[in-house]
Amino acid sequence: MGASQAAPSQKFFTSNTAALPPSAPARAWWTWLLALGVAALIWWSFRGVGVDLGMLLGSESRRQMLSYLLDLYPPDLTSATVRSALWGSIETLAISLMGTLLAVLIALLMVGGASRALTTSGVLFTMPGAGRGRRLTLLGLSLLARGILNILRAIPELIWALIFILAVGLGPFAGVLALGVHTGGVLGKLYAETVESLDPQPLEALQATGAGKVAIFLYGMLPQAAPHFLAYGLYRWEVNIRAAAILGFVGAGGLGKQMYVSLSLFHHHQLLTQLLALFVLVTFVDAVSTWLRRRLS
Amino acid sequence: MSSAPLDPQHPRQPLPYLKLLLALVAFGAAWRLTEMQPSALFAAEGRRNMLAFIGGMFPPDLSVDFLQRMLGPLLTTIQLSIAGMVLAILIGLALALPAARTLRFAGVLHEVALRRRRRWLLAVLPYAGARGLLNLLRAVPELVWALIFVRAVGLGAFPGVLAIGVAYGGILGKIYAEIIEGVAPQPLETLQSTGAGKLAVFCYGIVPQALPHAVSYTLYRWECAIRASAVLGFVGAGGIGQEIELSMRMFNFHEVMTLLMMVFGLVAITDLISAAVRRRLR
Amino acid sequence: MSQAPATSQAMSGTTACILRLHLLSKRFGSQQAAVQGITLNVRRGETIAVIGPSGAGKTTLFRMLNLSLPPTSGSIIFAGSPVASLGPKQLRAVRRRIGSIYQQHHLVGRLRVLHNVLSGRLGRWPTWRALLSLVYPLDLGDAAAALRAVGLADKLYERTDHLSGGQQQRVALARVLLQDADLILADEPVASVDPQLADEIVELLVTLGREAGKTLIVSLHHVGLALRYFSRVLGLRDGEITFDCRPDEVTPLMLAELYGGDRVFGGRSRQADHASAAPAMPLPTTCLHFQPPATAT
Repeated sequence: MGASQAAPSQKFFTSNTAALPPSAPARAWWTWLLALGVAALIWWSFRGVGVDLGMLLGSESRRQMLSYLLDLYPPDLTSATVRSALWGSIETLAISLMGTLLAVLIALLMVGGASRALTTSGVLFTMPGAGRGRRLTLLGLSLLARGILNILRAIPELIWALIFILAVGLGPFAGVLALGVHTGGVLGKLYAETVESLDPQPLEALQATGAGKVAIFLYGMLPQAAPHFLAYGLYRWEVNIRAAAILGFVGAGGLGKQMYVSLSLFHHHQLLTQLLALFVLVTFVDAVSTWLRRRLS
Repeated sequence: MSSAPLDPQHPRQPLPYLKLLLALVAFGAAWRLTEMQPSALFAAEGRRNMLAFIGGMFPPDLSVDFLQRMLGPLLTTIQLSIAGMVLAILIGLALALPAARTLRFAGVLHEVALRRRRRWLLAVLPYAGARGLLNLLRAVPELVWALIFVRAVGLGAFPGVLAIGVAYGGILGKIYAEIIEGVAPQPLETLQSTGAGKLAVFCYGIVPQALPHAVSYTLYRWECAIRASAVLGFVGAGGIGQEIELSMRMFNFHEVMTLLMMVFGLVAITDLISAAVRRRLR
Repeated sequence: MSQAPATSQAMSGTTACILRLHLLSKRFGSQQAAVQGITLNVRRGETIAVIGPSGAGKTTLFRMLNLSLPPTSGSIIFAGSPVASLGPKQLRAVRRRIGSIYQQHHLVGRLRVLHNVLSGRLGRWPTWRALLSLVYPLDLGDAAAALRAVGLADKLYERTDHLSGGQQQRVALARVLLQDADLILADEPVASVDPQLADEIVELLVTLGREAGKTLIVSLHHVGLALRYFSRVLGLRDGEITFDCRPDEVTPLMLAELYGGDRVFGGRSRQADHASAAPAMPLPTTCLHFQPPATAT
């Protein structure tokens, strides 16, 4: 590159008309089609549910909503309401705690079957000796465990709650069972995935010492996976505190039940008190869980 | 017992036992409060009820007539989830922009300007407001929102859309703000150092980095919205949920099974779509 | 007649300094100052290399010079105006006149090369043009010309993170060309590319800068490159300037003191204390060592 006395900044831009840049690669036609499709889908959705922008922003619905929300104010701060809201919060908290614990228990019981690392592939199964029949049995076991987890997870807590209310009657116990079973399905899947993605080297080292499968699981896998297990459990606890409040609506007690009563009887001010209690409770659980998870990592 | 001073690495502390004790007490209290009685699960009557329910679910009702009748609610559920998500995205974006620290007062974009201008407080107040509102929207579950909106605007899909929009708007807003705060700051510094304005830095530096994460998370939430819309119907917000509630009340458990299968199907399809989009976004 | 002001400016001793630093310091929290009392005058058209061990404060100095980081004390005077007194608008205008090239990771990887190059124009474009350009690229010819100048003509539409490290550094160079800044700062522009390529990029930078009459300040890890291509070399250590002279004046002793023998063990070595107690030469406060760059060669 020879130096020149060209005026500053002119140098590179004199010849740009001579050689125009290559034209941009055309965007694929289906990109546009996709965008159009999404737009159409949104339009169809809003039409379908009979909601339009006028409704969202219109003065009529806004007035309706505003007047309702204003009706809620002020919260009922009489000691009876506050005390029952407090008690309901504690009950809801207890349901979420027991439900999450039950879920962890279920997940731990299922992880052995559901994780491929423990049944059909991975370090433990590169070792010779396992016969064909045995392998098939294990594969079947794994598929069964996964299927069960899928079903547990797929049915929403609310439906589980209805089922368990039939079984054990109204009350918080049904709520605990519902939370535990649904969340157990969720955690079981997460736990199985965690075990599958563990670092295999320590496991191979253990295997080389002649340790059996159970020993490898206890000394190799569990220590590696435990922090993740705990973190997932805490995360689900945050989800479950909200779910526990919902379960109250179908008879599982706690804050949800009180809110249901307030809503049904148009006790606006009590409802606001309970909503505030729920807000405080959820914020509290989020903070505790975040703090614990930070300490874990 | 006197070995404690010799081992400064592990000072003896009563705390672990204290924590264990606390945990046990909490566990016991929770056990009492939730009226746990595992034996109830095996009581004859409860077992009969539950088996009747689960047994009643099989075989699922796959008659053409029923399926045809359920097509409408199925479509309503899809529409409700999409409309709700659009509203949630709008609310989320509107709140995420003031709630992202790096856009308001922290990080590379504000090192020089704010210190001098002392407009710090003016930038922090909207931030605190937006964060507080996001927390409030998030803390109340969507079902409770739905109940409130049903009271406020009447039965139908509209309160369902509002409930999903508001509850998920809070969640999306928080996540969007976190994504915006998490983008690599170096490209932003470079863009700023070319003399680019705030909006230009946002569009050239933040949007390209944040978009894939935001889209991916939004799709995941859409999946949740479909699940939620099945539940929202219970309180009169339309869609499949309403049919589930109806069938349950009529003890038509085989219909419930069919409806649940429809929800699984929808969720599975959403899952496929979002997996495909995520692959494209990489 | 139109050339007269420029010529007279170049002649007069003080206004020829495009950049003047006075006792510039930066302290992060309560740590030891990263940059300490730097006083420096930079003339238009100078090509300056800053060398020194890692942790010497080069990056902090650069971030202050391109107005990304406010100094703790001291002043920066760019083209006659003290930077600290500028309002947001004027700040943008000054930033536009200072181009920056960083070590790495400073391009937006997910954008096409084209947009990263065109982002050099963001200081000049009004916002609506900036936004429009993302959809319908403006000044395409200039971007292509700049890319041609750095030898990447065919990468215009490539996604930036698909390029190699060296290519990305050239893209950054093209962006600075498009920015048409008066002062170009480069912070370790070749630290992450292999030696052969490093040579090429530095040569390209200096040649292009000279051709357009730009002022260059480049920090380098590689002493050889600094001595070969630049008209002035600064030694920076522990946030202070240890020497400031022409490349042919740099002695092995100065380099030995700059890089300190036993720094391998970390911290401030005895030798370093010795060096700062008895500086090799007085800190220059004027353009004393300035030699007009050999633009005519």
